[in-house]
Amino acid sequence: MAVLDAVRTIVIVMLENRSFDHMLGYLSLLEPKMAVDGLVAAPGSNTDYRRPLAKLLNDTYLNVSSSDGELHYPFHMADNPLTIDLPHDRHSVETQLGRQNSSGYFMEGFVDAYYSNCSTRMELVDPMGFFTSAEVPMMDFFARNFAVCERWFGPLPADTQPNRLMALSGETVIDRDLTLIPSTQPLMFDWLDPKGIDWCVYSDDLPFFTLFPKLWPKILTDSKHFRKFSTLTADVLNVSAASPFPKVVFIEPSFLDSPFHPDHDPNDDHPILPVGFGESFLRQIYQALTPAQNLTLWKQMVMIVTFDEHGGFYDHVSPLFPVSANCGTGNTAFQSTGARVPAFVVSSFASAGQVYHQNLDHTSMLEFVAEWLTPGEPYSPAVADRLAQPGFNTGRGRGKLSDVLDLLPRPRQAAPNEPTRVIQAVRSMFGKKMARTPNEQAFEQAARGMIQRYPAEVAQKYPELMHWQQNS
Amino acid sequence: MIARLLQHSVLRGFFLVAALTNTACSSLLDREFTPHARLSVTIPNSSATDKDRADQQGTLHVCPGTSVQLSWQIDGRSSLSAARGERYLAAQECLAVSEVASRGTGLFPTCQDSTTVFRATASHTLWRWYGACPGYGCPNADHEVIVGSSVTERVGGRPGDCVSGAFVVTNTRPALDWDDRYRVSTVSLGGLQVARTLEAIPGRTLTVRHDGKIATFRTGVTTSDVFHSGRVAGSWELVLSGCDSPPPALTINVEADCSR
Repeated sequence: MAVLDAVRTIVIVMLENRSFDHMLGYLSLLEPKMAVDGLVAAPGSNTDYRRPLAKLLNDTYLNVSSSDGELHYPFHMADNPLTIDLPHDRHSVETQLGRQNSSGYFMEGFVDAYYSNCSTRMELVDPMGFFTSAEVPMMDFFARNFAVCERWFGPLPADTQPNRLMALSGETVIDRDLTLIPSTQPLMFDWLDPKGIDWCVYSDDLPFFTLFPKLWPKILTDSKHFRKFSTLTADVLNVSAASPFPKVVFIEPSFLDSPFHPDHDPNDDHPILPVGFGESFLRQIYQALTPAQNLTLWKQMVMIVTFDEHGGFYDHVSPLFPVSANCGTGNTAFQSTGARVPAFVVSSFASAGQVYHQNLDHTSMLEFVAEWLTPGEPYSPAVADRLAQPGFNTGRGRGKLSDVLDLLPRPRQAAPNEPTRVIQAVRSMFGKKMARTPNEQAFEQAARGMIQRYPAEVAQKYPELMHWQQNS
Repeated sequence: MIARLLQHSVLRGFFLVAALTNTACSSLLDREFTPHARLSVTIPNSSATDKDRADQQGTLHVCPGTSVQLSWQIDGRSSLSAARGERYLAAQECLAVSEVASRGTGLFPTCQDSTTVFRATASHTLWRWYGACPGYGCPNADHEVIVGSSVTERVGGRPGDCVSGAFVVTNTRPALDWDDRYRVSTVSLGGLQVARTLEAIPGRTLTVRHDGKIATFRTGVTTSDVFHSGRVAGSWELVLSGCDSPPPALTINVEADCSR
């Protein structure tokens, strides 16, 4: 029996738009420290990181604003709704990465990119903000009780859609968010279905897959493959040898870009959201997957928690390069990965407090799925070629997700207890909002298209969408 | 509709807004209300030239008691406010929210001897009445004005390639952003990382040029009075000799006060 046979289920949770330093940089700054490549204070620096004196933090992280010459350093930000979404399209990311030499990008243009998109001028400017365990208690819990991957990169220096498509297939036919994703885009389901591998999507609202019209019938009527997040707890309680959980499971948050949020705030962590909602969502997921009454799934499960891309927030580690990626006819190929994003392997097979130092990105999940489910066969030539590129061997070299599972094949029996304190977040939206960005428009168009083509089915599964459509 | 609104507001507050958006006028609101705010702040006594004013400005530094000129352009219902104190540190309102015309200019006092954050807010009558904004669209434009009788300003930047045996960083502070009454007292090396760079290589120097004057720092020489009484605004050029082991950034601390 191969070692990976002890794994029965992989759960993938992908939130939105936060960088590693922004969410987890504090792990190397504040006690009890962890050995991650995060933020480090220079000797003699001020330790009140909420003040502009945090300027003294460390020159390594310096970003200079071109417009006014002001120097900006990371600072401890409060978890409030942000004034604006931070820029993170392809052009803005280019500005954020800044100059490059043989060692990598300078990571110096985060403030410039932000200033080019708004007239706000502050000493403590949002893209340079970071959180601590007080704001991200669930991420802190994951880091200290499972494995944190400190060099997990968003696959592309671009926005949501291209990065999510890389996660779902290892390739993308677009280089930026569009209002309509071309139907030629492959998805992981196209790989799983012919092999008879069971999968399921649990979504807290409209899933990202709504942007793919070919999936609408399944999303609306196939309750085996597309389920509401609210059913997860009961489904896990029913897991047994005779009734196993699907092998590949996606848990989707309630997306900020979705057109309607009927009864709770979105929780995908996309700015301008505070992260409290996302933290709450992660706790709900963890609680649902580790019920004391039935730990069958827990003992066989690998959950990946990560983010699609950095969302315009500062990170000090250069993306990997050269890592070229084609992104559709007529578009200039990307030459590097995106910035680092937070990533955890939450599993009974991962030892507590492990820091995994080698290079990973979203396509490493696909490599793992293939290694586990089709041993000896790569997921696809595109994924194999990508991970073989020289850029992945820089630093401590290319990583493999299966290496993070250092306790295989003997899982930890008990699931650590998650923090129970109240997670607070400032409410900032109600019901409906206007679609402005391409991804918001894509969600809105998809919702309208789905309603137009399948009104009865939408009324059944997403009645709130009918209400929204009638009044918008 | 009113009964419906009241019912919702009693039962679940947030449904009130949902109900408002679900009226026949909601699409009209959407079309006609695109919240957007821009705010610029200038110092009336600044020595900035017209060319400076054409540039995008940054955080302002003013002496206590100074009023600043605000110019705003706000789509939607418009208001201005100001808060006292640094961001995230128990900011207190020092200028009440006041509704203003969507475009305008005016002279506003800064909070007494405290960093002041002016905020332009785009909102709408209905949302203001309810005390919230529609969706996530209620953008504010914040502009921070740092008020103090003295200031320590860090100046510098990340070095690029070594050219002709030196790393050079130029950091320009626009006159538009600095109260003209600020005058430099001393300049010192910015943090231990720069000092260590000078100590590590014998004979290495950091030369600073500003306002037609030059100061040279080396091991044991970490402060200078060369720029005393000069302006903070203007171009600061930092030149580190030698191409070995550059620090992550070349930085100096400029101490200035409202001595003029």
